[in-house]
Amino acid sequence: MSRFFAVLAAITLIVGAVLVRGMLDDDDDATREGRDRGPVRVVCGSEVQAACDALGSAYEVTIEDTATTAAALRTADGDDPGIDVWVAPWPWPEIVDGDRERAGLPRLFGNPVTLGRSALAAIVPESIGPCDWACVGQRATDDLRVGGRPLDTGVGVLHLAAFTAGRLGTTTYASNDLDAATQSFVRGLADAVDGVPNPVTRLLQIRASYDVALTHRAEAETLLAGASEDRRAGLEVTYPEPVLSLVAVAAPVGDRSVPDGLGGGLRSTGWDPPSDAPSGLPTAGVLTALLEVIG
Amino acid sequence: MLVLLVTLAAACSGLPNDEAPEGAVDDALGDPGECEVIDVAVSSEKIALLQDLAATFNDSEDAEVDGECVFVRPYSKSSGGAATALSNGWQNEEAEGQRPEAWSPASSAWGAIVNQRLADAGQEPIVPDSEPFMLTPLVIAMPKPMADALGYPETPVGFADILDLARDPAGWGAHGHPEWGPFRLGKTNPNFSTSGLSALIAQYYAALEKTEGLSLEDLAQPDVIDFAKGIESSVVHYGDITPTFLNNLYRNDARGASLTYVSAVAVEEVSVISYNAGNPDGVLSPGEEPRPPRVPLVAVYPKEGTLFSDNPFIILDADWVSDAQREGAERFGEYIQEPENQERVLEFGFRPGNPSVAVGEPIVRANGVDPSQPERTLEVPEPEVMVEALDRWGEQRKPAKVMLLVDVSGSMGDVAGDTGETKLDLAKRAAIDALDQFKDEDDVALRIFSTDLSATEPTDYIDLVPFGPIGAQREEIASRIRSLVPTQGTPLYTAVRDSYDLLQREYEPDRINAVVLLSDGQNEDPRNSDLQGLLDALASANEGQSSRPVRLFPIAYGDGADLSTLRQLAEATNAAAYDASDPASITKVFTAVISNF
Repeated sequence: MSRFFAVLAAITLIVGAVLVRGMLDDDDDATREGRDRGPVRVVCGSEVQAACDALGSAYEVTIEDTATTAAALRTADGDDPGIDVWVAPWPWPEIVDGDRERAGLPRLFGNPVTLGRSALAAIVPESIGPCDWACVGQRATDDLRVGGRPLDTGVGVLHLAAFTAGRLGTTTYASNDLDAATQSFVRGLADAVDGVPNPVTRLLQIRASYDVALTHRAEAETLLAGASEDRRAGLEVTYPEPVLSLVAVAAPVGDRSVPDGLGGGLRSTGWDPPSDAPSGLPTAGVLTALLEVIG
Repeated sequence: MLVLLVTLAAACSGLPNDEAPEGAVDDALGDPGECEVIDVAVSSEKIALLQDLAATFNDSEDAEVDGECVFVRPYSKSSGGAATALSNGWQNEEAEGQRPEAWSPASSAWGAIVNQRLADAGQEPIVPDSEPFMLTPLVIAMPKPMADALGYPETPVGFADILDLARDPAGWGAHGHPEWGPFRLGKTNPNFSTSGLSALIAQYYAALEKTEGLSLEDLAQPDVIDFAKGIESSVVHYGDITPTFLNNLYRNDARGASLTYVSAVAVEEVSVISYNAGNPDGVLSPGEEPRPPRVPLVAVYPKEGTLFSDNPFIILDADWVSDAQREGAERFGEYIQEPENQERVLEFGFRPGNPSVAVGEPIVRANGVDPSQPERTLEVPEPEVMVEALDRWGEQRKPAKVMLLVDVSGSMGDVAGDTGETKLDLAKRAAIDALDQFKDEDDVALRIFSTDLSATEPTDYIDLVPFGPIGAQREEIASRIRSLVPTQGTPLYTAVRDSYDLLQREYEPDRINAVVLLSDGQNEDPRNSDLQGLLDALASANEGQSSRPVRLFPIAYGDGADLSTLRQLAEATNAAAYDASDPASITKVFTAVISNF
């Protein structure tokens, strides 16, 4: 009998040790390495906030506009830019690193982890009829009132890329395809699209605000499903051609670790899991060129 | 019951007569005890709602930060007044009210104006982007027979039509109703009032026939300036808050005379609902029962488009806001967005900001409003454009002809407060400060009154400065005010009657004609104690479509003033009385009174 208790005690000690080790490991996941061992600092773009909402309190989480984070990171200290992981729409981390390289600064980010995707979409009145990105873009400067996130911000510039792809008839365009007429089209869009942080919410609050709200599938479906019947009446979600997808990534600074659970947070709000299918997004260089066009 | 109690305690901006002074933190919510207090400056039209929500929040488990309780304390402050105070760092709590940690103006446009003014002064912005939690559009409220006469809603109506009406010498006669007289527009002062600011922006857009992109260059166009002046020319008088107009309209309605006071008022949709429910100012006084008016109002959604008051809940990025206050305010911000609390928003006549809550009763056609309207919205201009529009309004507004009628009776020599200054000292300073609010073209005169003040007839008053453009005599009026000394008794009725008669005789239709009366006492004149005779004379002078409307704006100054009588005098002229029973409030009250011009 005493042998039985000795074995039981040994098993208990081993299990306890494993549990304690596991808890320590969990803590390590949320703790920065090196001299400064504070909590891991994760910054989420406001469009992908759901990813950060899934993190526990062990992380230091900041939610802010993607373009705001990008502006700070372009000139940040390469050794400690003030964050450990940036969750943002792709290819914003690449845009920042490209800008840093051109400024003679070291790149910041290691290999990004893809978290999820959601097709770029537009909420339109059911009466609008078929209208691809080129059509929506053209009519934005004509007879449609279009609301979206500012076109020089996180998802906004991706919509600008979609409009441009529609106009050029291809998603594989280069910056040197942005001829004078296309640049004029792009600048016209920047003036025409009313830039607000939450265009879909604005449309649902005040129907007269817009005819069209620029968004993406997960956001559109979540917000429409949550709206009262009278507010969503007569509206539909469309995916104008060519279809482009917003891809959320977690970009670690250097070789720092990416927290678990970020992708799950997105999927809980309707995002699709990562896939190998082409997103249709242009390269960081092309987006940089589009940003320069709209100044 | 809680709603009723809070409603009764609600404070409005200004402050016309019996409403609580703005900026004052009342104890409607009880004692915060040891809790971290979060003061929230709230525009007047939603103070009852916010206090209601704060009361339930403070009692909930949500009102806790790191184990410590927080206590949200909303108080009434006009949006424009708060914007001005924040732009100046909110330095004078005595004059401006409690410095807030959070702010809910009627429109986010005010936040943009604050940040612009701070930027102009080389300072950092303190108003971040914030989510609206309830909405209400600007409308042109018209008595239903008048809207019918214009063919609304089958025929769209907008600011351009109002300009046509205002310019037509036939007035309502052009629409088959000469008995209604000229077209009369009620509009609030855009420096104080959100509906005034929204109306100002909307009329600029209407002048340009555009809905977005209002620019500084647009404002400088001669035809745009003419359009703006044309609209302003039809204004009966301005005011710091819309309830001034709606209360007057309601009183006229009770007498069957609502169609001759004002033809249209630029107000928020929620005000139309309140008016038609028989609660014109949205605040029920003790014992007051809502009684629908004989002639209801119709909300005309301007055909050119309109702006929404979006009521953001703003946590200020200011150094006086602690982390605990910030976190507590964030929790309150989330609390008021919860669907069950957004249902409360709807009960008060606002459109809920949370799209999960349907827009329903009381925002229905039977109440004079249309939930499917407006069909167009107008873009909120860039902050520098709004600041320029406000500056230009100061020049384009309808000019005024105002007599400052100042009581210099002996009681004005009483000491007020701890500094040893008398009531007259405080009033003199306030009056001199207020002179700057007149534009140079305003005609202003100064008359003082007290018993046997003059050796010759009339003995009870003396004209120290006759009517003339204040631009040329501002300093003379100020100098005369500085030299005032208290004398004898208070021949209130005689001074009012004679001053009013003078304005009637010298009435100028292209100006706002008014008497501003400052008095700290009651009528003390055995030779003239006929109040009813005076009231009848004032009322009859304002009746009829060809009347010469002269407004009397009394300030009841100090606790000895006869507020009740002064209120009756004001209401007889379709104006409002102002309560400055606390002498320290006189500067603020003077500012509110002058905002009528």
